[in-house]
Formats: sequence, structure tokens, C-alpha cells
Amino acid sequence: MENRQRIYLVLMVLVGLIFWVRLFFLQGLDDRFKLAADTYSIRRLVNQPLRGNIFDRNGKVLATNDFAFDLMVIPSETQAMDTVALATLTEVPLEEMRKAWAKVNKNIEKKRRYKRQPQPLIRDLSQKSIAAFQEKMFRFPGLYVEKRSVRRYPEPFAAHALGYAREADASVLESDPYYQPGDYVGVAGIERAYEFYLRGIKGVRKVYVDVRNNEKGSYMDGVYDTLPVPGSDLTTTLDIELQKYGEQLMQGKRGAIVAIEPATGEILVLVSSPSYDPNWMVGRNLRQHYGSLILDPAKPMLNRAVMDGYPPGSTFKVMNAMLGLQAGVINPSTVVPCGGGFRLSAAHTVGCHGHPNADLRFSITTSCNAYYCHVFNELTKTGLNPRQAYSAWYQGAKRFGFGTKLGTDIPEAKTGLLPAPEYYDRVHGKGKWRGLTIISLGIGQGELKANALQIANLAAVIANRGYFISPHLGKALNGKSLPDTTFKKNYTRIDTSHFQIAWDGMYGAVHKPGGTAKVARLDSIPVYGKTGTAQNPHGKDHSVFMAFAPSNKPRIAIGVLVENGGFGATYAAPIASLIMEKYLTDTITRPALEERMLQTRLE
Amino acid sequence: MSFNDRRGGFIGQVDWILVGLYLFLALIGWMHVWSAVPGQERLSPFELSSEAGKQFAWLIICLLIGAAVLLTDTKLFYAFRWPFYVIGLGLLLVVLVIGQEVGGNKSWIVINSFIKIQPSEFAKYFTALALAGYLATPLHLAPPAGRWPGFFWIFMAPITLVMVFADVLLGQGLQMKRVVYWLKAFALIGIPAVLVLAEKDTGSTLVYAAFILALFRFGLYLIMLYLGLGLAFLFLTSLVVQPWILILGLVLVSIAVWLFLLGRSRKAILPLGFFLVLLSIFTLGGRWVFDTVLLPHQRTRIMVLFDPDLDPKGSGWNVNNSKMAIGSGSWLGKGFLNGTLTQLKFVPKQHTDFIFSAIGEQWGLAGTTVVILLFLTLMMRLILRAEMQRSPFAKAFGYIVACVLFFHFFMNVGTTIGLAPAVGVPLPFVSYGGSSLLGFTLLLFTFIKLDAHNLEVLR
Repeated sequence: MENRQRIYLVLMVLVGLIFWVRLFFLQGLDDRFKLAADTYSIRRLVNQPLRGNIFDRNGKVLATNDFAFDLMVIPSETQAMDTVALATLTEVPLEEMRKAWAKVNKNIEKKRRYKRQPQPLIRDLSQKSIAAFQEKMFRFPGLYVEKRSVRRYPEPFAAHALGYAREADASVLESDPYYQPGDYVGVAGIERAYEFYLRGIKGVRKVYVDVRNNEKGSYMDGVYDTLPVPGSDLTTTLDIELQKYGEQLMQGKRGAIVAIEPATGEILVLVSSPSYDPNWMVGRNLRQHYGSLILDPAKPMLNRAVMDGYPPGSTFKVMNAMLGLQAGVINPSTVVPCGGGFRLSAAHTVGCHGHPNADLRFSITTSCNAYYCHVFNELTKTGLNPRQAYSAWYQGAKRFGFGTKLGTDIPEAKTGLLPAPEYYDRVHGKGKWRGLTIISLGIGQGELKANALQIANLAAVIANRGYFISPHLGKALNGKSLPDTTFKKNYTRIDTSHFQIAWDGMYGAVHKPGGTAKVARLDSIPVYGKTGTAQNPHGKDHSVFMAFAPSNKPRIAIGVLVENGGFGATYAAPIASLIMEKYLTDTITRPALEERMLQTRLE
Repeated sequence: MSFNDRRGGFIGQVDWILVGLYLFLALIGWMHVWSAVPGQERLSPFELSSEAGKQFAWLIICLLIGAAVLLTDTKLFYAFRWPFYVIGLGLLLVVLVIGQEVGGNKSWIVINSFIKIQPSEFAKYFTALALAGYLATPLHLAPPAGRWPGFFWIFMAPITLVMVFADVLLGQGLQMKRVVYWLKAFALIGIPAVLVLAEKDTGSTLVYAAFILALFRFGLYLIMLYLGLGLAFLFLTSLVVQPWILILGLVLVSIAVWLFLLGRSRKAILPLGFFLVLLSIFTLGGRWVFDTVLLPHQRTRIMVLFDPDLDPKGSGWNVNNSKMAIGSGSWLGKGFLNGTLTQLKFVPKQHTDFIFSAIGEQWGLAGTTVVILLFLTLMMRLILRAEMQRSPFAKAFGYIVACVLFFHFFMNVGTTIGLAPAVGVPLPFVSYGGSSLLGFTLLLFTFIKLDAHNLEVLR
């Protein structure tokens, strides 16, 4: 038995010896590990989340995600290959393929480490060519296909409202540390306004990589890794069917349509014409279309609905009537003799068309220039001096939303121009101007600039009898109301009762003899409208129209602006009328009018 | 028992070499637990919220408990071995009920965020006491076999068969008393082992094999040791070599053994044939067990021994990275706190099961050689001291402690350098973990205490 002690000692020494020999080879003789170990590092890999979907108010999908396929290359792993065959297989023009290779080679020349880095050779290949390529992939070592999500807009409408997302550029990367090269970021429209919610949360994976860029496994067994969280789904206020109809009506015309639900400030329609298919702003299409869109003299990229705009024309008179009533310079029965115009001086008259003398209601119905020159002139006499009186009017007009962005969520929104008193001080000199100097503001001309959104909003103010809710496009996130954006009620501080006059006048304009907008009349529903003509020193005047309907709890307020359309009644009023009819009754009773509007080309 | 100065008084003659080795290893452990944290996250080694600080606190506690053990009357360990054993089993049962899963093993009792205890580490100590107590009564003094219930035999059937055939093969004739003696020892080890296995703690279960290793010193059939080593060898080779080639080899070896070792004895043919069939079944069955019974992760843990690149990011990951860290240490290492891979947390579980890789990277072959020599010295000194014990209880306990340490050393270091499957056992005294440090401290200091009074034991 005694010798069994030896078994234990021998076993222990044997194991110790085996271990030591192993370590001698592992640590002493084998160089493999030394080289590899010095060059390891931790790399942070980002998993892009899916961008949130966008829906219209009825749940129709406006924006969703598709998958795009990039042909990737790791230059160090490629071998001599048949570029022509590759081009044919992937249906990429040979010229483009050669350029792509040249670009890759140039990258490698610049930085040698790019040789081992995966990079896109051709972006956004079609599904079909991917399938063809993958069949023959073995012939092209070093090339592979990578899947990536891209935006798709199922309805080719509402491009300006939706905006677009694209790869973050240098300025975005600098200003917001969230973004990294290759990330997508909303840069216009809803995509931009709700970027924070749509983008989701990036997932992060930490891995070890060796010097050759090979992944060597998860850092700390992946305990710090996170999965990407998809962006929230955004429901917008848009009615895509109505939007589509609006865009069709504006075919061949430049201008804008904005329709608002007065009670909520929700924008039903936001048309800017000419427009483009929002899908043109995605991936491969972007490179094809962007240049021509930018260079097009019709400026299809410009959002005309919210741009600085043109003089609002006679639509402005309704506001002046309200300001006049509130200030007490007129009352509903004030009659101003027209006599063909308002005489500024012996030499100058603001002309008017021939119509009977008008009281306040009829002045709106018939759009009397003389009346509103008178109102404005009287308004500028209310204070200690014209400047002070003008300041009061300026503040009043601002409360109607002119000269402001209305608190909207459209990132491109401009203020238009409502000249501040300082503006005239600068132009005419301090104390050297009075009401008559700037009398054209009374009839919505002159320096004034307003856009379709502000004009539609004016209609909403009147429909609401004195206030508006900031017009907006965002309605709900993941089915719940927007978390931190509440669109506030803005009061004009005009007595609610005064607005009955505006209602009556605008009803008359559509329904009564002498009215300027009888073309906007609908058989079944009372429509309240006001035409306008924006003077255009460069060419034919712009056609403007605003309206709301029906009388009991107005459901739609609309502003239409057709560039070079002439009088408001010529194009703007019929288009507005057709849209309201479509929205309120879902039928078109005047096919001839519709046909004429659809066919008209003003370009 | 007489007390005088020569014999060391109340504390006895403490073997300070063992204590010194213990302290050296524990300090190395604490140092490297501290080093296995990225530089910017490293706090003071005494900071209690960090792992190094906790390890330090545990070390202080262990030293106090070690001192308490040295002050305990040696008779207590023997006297209370059964109550201790029952308490150990009780703890294992408790953990099965209220235990919490940490890293896949349901073997922890979580007291608060600072303190978790792993009862299986203490159960090891209690089992060691009970087993040593059992072995203190040698076979020839043991009571006659007596009658045992049927289920006991059924339960123990495979081991019984092997022992019966070993008796016959060795031509010693069947000795039922001996068979029963060893069966009881196996049962003593087996009961806690089964409970630990129920906690899904493979590593700690395998540690109970270390107890069996100790039995051979006290007369367990050596053929079982060879058979065990042979089976392990067969199992591993059966994974890479065609089974029929293996069986052919076995037949040839058997014939050679019969021809040259057993003197062509006719009586030996039957048992030899039995072993041959057993081994063949095992060879074929091993592969079958491997393919069907083992879980996929257990399978890959074994397969990466043959092919480290088999699953480089999964099962092979820990071992591969551990090997890389150790290998990158080269001859003299990268210097303390300069282990680049250690700083990158490249080796998962580096402060617990893979602490050896932290030493290997920072101190190179010089450091690993020192650690291996320290362990060899400790284990061999334990064997030498155990052999010298006059008390059979102390002797058995010494062998058990040495075998437990040896098994841990073998499995742990073997795993980090890719020579043993990764089953997850700590490196004694070095790995982070209060329970395991305390368990090993109790084992070692109890032996030191028993040894200190060796000369007082009257022959």
C-alpha cells in the first residue's frame, strides 16, 4: 500500500509537466498570439432602426420602408474579374460600373486601410439583378450584397408635405452628435419636423476586431449590446385622396392649395405645384432626379404653400373689415361711395370696378377697393400719429397670422411679409409717411406677401369667428396624441359678433348678385368665399381665393393661389370649389368645370 | 495527549510552509482580480464595491476563520463529522429550493447585492470530513457486510459489477465485505454530488470525482483508476477516431495483456472478455451519449479541445481568447496592469474561472511557471505530510484535500490553456469568489490543524 503514495506524486508532477510544456510552446515558441493580441481593438457597430411609417388621417400609408440592396466590395479580397459580365449581370451601365471601380481605387490610393474595408460599389440594385448576381456570385470574390432599408412612398403625392430623408451631410454631422456618416436624417417636411420620433433608436453592438478588420466576437459577451428600436409611426392630418385631387387640379399650373379643418387646425391638403414624386428623393432615384429638380426654372422643390408668397389681394379686405369694426372706424351700415375708385390725389386714384355704392357686407361681396382704402385710411388716423395707428393695425394683422409662421410644424414655413412700422421709417423716412402713403395695404397689395397657408388660415379664422389653431400636419404618434407638441389657440381679439358681417359678405360673394365668386357656388352647401388678385409687376396677376364651408360648424377652410391665373374667380375659386365639393359631398356635380380646370396649362 | 513546548502547545506545530503557500497564492489571486479590470474602471484594491475589494475582505475573513480553525480542538472535526455532513446536505437542499441562478447555475443563495454564497463549496468541506472519518476505519476493522436493501444494489450496480469482476480478474476471489466497504464510500460521495448536479453545476459535480481519487490510497481497486483513465482516453479518442478502429485496437491490447501479463490463464478469459465487451460498449455508447445525451453547448466545449477554431465566437471564444491572452504574455509577460487583452476584457469571466490567463498575459511563462510550481509544491507537500500522519483520520483528510486541490488545478489551468473541457471550476485560493476561497481555506487549515498535532497522536 505504501507505494500508492507515489501514484499521487507521479500524477501531480506529470500534470504539472504537461501544463508547463504546453505553456512553453504557447507562451515561448508560438508567435501567432503575440502578433494578433497587440492589434485587437473594440469596435462599435451600429444597427440602424427602421424609420417610422407615416399615415394619412384615414390610415393610408404615405411613407414606409423598403429594402435596398447595395453591391459591396472588399478590395483586398477581389481578384481580376470580368467587369463587363458584372455590369450585364447587375444591369448597371458599363460606364457607371467603370466609374464605380475607379472611385473605389481612388479611395484605396488615398488611405491604404480602405483596401480591407467593405464599401459600396453600386448602391440600390434592383431585386431582379440581385438575384441574377447572387447566382453567379462565386465568380466575383470580394463582392457581396448588403441589405439596407430605404424609404418608400406608396402614394406619389404630397411630396412637399412629406419632405424627405437623406444621408446626413457634414453640417448635420457637426451640429448633432447623434448622427454618424451614413445615417439617414429627415431634411424637409414631415420627415424633418418629426425626425426625432421617426428615426427610432439605434442599436449598438460592441465587437472585437483584429487589425485586418475581422470581427472577433462580442465585447463582454454582449452585455452592453442593444437592439435597435424602430421609429414611431406618425399619423398626419393629410387626406391623401383630397391631396391627390388637389395636385391633379393644379397640373400644369404653378401655385398652391392649403385646406385646413378650422376647428382643429389640421391641414387636410397641402399642394405646391409643380410637384414631384416623393420617391424621387430616395436612393438611386435621388441621384437621377435631384439635379434636374434643382435646375428646373419652375422650382418644383420650392414649397409654394408656405413660401414668402405674393400679395394676398382682396382676401385681405375681410381682415381689414374686422379690424375696422373692432376699432370702431366703421359700422355694418357705413356706406362708402365708390364712384369708380378711391381718390388719393388729383392725379392718383385706386381704381374700382363699377358697382352700386356699398355698405360693409356688400363691400365684401363685391370687393370694393374704394371701401377698403377708406377703412384703412380711417384706421391710420385712430392714434396720436399715423405711425402709432399703423403699429396698432400691424399688431392686429399679425394676430390674424400675417407676417408670422402661424406656429405651424412645417419646417419650411416662411413668414411672408407684413411690413413693420420700422420698414416704412426706413423706406420713407421717420414721420414722413401716413395712411395714404401706404394705402394699398388696405386692399391687400403693395409690399405685402402672404402664402396659401396664411390665406387658408385667414379663412379658418373667419370660420372660427375670431381664432385659429396653429395649422399643422402631425396628428398622432403610434396612435397616441403627439407628446410635446400642442398646437395652441391663437386669438385675434376681435369680438366674435363682428364675424357675422364677414360671413354675410363672403356668403354674398358666392351666392348673391354682384358677388365676385359665383363660380364657387355649390348646389347643396352654402359656401363662404372671397376672391383676390395679387398684383404681379412681372407678368400676369396671380389668382387668389379663400373660402370655408358649410355654415354649421365649418369643416374646411381653404386658400388657393394660382400664379399668373389672373382674377381670383378665374382659376383659384373654381379649384377651391371643386376641392370643397369633393371633400364635403364626395361627388363632382360640375364635370365640365372640373375638366376645364384639369386641362388648363398656364406654363 | 501531553502538552509540552517541543510539540507546539495548544496551537500545535503549524506547518508554516503550507500557510505561506496559501498566503502567497491568495495574494496573487487578489492582485490579479484587481488587474482584470480596464484601467479607467479600476478602483483602489481595497474599495469594497469592486471585486478586488470584496476579495480582500473575504481574504481577511478567511484568515480569521483559518485562525479560528487552528484554535479549535482537533477532536471536534472527527466528532462532528456526521452533523456537518448532514448540514452540508441540508444546505444543498436549501439552495435547490431558494437558490438563484447566476450564470446558468442554480447554485447560489443571494443574501444581498454584496453577498452571495455558493453552498456547494462548503458541502465539499463537510463531505471531506465525513469521508475522512469513514476511511479512518480501515477495511479489516470495518463491520461485516450485513444486509442492504435492494435499491442500494441496483443503484450501485455498475460499480459493483466492476469491483466483483476486478476481484475475480485479480484472482483474489470475491470479497463481499470489501465490495460493500467501498460501495458505502461511493454513496457518501455520491449523495452530495447528485444534489450539486441537480443545481446544474457541472463543474462542482465533477469535483466530487476528486474524492474518488483519494480512495485509491486507502485500498480501492487500482484497476478502477486505470479503467477510469482508460475510459476518459477512449471517450475522447472515440470522438475523433472511427469506433471500429478503436475496438480493433482494444481487442489487440486485450490479447497482448492475456498473453504477456496474465500468463494465458484460462480463468482470466471470462473477466477479460467482460472488460473488452464493456469497453467496446463504452466506445460505441460514448459516441452515442455524446451525440444525444449531452447538450449542444457541452458537446462543443469538448469538441473545441480538438479544434479550437470550431466555434471561435461561441464555445471556443473563452478558451481561444484565454489561450491568446496567455500566449501573448510571451516569456516575461507584458508587465503588471499592462495586459492589453486583460484591459480589453477580452477573456470573459477572467477574474473567476480564467484568472490564470490574467497571470499568463501579465507575467508570461515566468509567472505561469511560478504559479504551477507553487501549486505542485502545495499539493505534494500535502501528500507528503498526509502520509506522515499517525491518525488515520488526519491521513485520509490530507489525501482528500490534496486530491480536491489537484482536481481543481487540473481542470482550471487545463481549461485556460485548452487541455481540459471548460466546465467552470475555480482555481483554488486565486480565483475571485468568497465561497470558494472560504471552502478551500477550511479544507487546508483543518488539515494544517490536524497535522500540527500529529506528534501528539499516540501510536
